[in-house]
Amino acid sequence: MRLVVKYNLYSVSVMILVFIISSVGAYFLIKSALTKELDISLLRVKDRIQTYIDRNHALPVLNSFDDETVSFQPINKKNAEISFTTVQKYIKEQHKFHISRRLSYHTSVNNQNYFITITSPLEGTRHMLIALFNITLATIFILISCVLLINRIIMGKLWHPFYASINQLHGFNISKPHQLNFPQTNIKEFNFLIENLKINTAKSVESYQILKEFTENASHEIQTPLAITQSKLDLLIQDDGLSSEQSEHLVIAYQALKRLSKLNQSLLLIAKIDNLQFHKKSPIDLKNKLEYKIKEFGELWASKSIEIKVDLSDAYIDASPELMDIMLNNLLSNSCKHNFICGSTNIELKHGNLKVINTGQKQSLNTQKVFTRFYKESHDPANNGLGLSIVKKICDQSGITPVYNFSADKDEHIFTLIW
Amino acid sequence: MRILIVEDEPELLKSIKSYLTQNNFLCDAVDNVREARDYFLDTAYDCIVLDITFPVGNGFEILRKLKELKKSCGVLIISAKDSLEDKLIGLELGADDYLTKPFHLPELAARLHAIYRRRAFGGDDLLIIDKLVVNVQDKYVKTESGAIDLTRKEFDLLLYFISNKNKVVTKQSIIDHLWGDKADMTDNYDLIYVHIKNLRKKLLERGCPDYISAVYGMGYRFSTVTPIPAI
Repeated sequence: MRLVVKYNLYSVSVMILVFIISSVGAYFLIKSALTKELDISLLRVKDRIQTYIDRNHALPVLNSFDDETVSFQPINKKNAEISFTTVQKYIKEQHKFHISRRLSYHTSVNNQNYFITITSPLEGTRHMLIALFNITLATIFILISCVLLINRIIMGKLWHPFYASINQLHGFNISKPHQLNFPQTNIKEFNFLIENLKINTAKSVESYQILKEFTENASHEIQTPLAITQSKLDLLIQDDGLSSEQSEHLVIAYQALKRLSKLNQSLLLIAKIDNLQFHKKSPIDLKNKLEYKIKEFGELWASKSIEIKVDLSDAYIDASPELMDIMLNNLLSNSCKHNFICGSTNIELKHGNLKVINTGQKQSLNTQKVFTRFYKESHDPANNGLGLSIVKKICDQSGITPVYNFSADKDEHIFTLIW
Repeated sequence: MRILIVEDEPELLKSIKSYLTQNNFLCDAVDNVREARDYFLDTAYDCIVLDITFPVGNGFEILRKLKELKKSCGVLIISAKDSLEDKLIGLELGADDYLTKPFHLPELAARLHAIYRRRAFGGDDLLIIDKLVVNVQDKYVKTESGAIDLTRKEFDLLLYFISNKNKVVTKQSIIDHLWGDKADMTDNYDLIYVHIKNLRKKLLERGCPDYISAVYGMGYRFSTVTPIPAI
C-alpha cells in the first residue's frame, strides 16, 4: 500500500467520524434551540389565554387555524404546576403522528379549575434532520475530494526527493560506482535520509573495494605457494633416479596440489560472482553456444562412450557471457563426470528452458542440498562439491531458476534451468 | 634464446630459472622491478617472464618502460591474479601472453617457445628435430618419407613435447595444455593416452624412432636420444 493511500485512509476515516459526531451534536443543539424557541412561543400563547381569561372571565374560543391546539379540561383539583412535555400527536390532516411540544398547566375561570394544554407541532425537526444529513454528506464528499486531490498533488511534490533518491539507489551498482546525484531538498527528514544514503553507499563502495582487494590478495597469497610447490614438483620429476615408489608419491602429491588449486579457484570464482564482478550482460544465442560446447565436450563424452542426444531450439538469454560459459561448462562436465561408461546424456534447449539429463548413480541426490557448497554425495577426491553451487550462484545472478529432479524409472538426473 | 625472469618469490624464481636453463634457455633472474630495468637496458632479451605483483612497483611499469624504449622483446606475464582486467591491461601494454599461477613449468617453456617463434620468424619457420620437420604456422609435420597427417590435438601435443624436449611432462600438464580452460572438465587421463598412442603410431609409421616414452605413472618424455632405461 502506498504511503499516500494509507495516509488518506486514516485521514478520511477520521474526517468521516468527526463529521458524523459533529452532525449528531449539531442536530441535538439545534433541536434543543428550536424546542426552547417553541416553549417560549407556547408561553406567549399561555399569556394570551390568561390575558383573555382575566379580561373576559371566560375561556377563549378555540381557534384551530393556528398551529397551536389548545384544550381545556375541567378538573376538580387545582395544581400550580406548569410542565413542558414532548408528545406524539396525531395530525388528522396529514394522517400521521407528529412530534409536538405540549405546555400543560392549571388555571381557574369563574371558580372552575381547568387543565389547559397547549400543543404545538415541532415542525422543523424532521426537515432539519434531512437538511443536516444532506449538508454533512455534501461537506464530507467535497472535503474528502479536496483533501485527496491536495494530498495527491502535494504529496507527490513533497515526496519527490524521496523517490528521486530511491531511483538513484536503484541504478547503483557497487562494482561500478558512479557519482550518485541525490536531489536537493530543504526537508529535514529527507536530508537526513539522503545524508545517510550518501554515507552508506560510500561505505559499501569502500567495503566492496576492500573485499575485492582482499579476494585478490588472498588469491595471490595462496596461488604463490601453490606455484612454488608445483614448480618444485615439476623439477623433482625430472630426476632420472626416481624409484617407482617415489614416482607414485609424486603422482599423489600432484593430484592433491591440483585439488587444492582447483578448490582455491572455485572459491575465488564464487567470491567474484558474489562481488558482482561479472555484471556486464549481453544477449546470448544459447543454441549457438551449446552447439559449440557440445562439439568441445564431444571428445570427453566419447572417452566414456557416453551417448549424446541433442535437441536444440532457438533460445536467447540476457546474461554475462563469461558466467554462461562457466555454468554450461559445469553442467556439461557434471553430465560426463558423474555418468557411467556407456551411459547417456540428453541436452534439450527450448525457449525459456534448458534441460541436461544424464544417467548416473541409481539414487536421487539430496534435492535440498544439491546446490549448496561442499555438498558431496560420495567421497570423490576429484569433486570439490562447488560446481553446482557455482551454477546456483550464476543462476541467481542471471535470473534463472535451477531445478534438480531424479527420474527413478530411468535412473536419470535431470537439471532444468528456467528463465 | 635469452630470457629475463622477473619474479619476487625467490623459490619460484629459482625453479623457473632451473627448468628453463635445463631447457637450453639462457636465463637471467631478478626479484625486483628496479633491477629488472637495469638488466633489460643493458642486455637484449628475446623474452621477459614477468610477474605483476611486487612489494615495490609492479610489472605494468616494466611493460610501459619497454614500450617507451621500443624494446622488441616478447613478454610473458605470470600472475597470481586470474582477473580479466589485469589480462587486458597486460596485453594492451604489449605483453604477448598471460599465464596464471600456479602453472606447469613445461607449459611456461611451451609458451616461451611460441612467443619466440612468433617474434623471431613471424611463425613462418621450420623446426627441425631429429627426423621431424615441423611447420608451426601451417601446422604440418613431415619426415623424409612424407607428411604425417596429425589431428589438431596431436599436432599441439607434439609441439608441446618438442618445447620440452628431454623433460618429463605430467599427464595433468598435457591435459591443461591441450584443453586449456576445459581441462577442469575432465579427470580422465585416458583421453590423453589415446592421443599419445595415436601420435606415437603415426610417427613410427613414418620411420621415426619412438620419441615418446612413458615415465612411470607420472607422464611422458619426448626425447630424440635413446631414453635412459627405467631402473
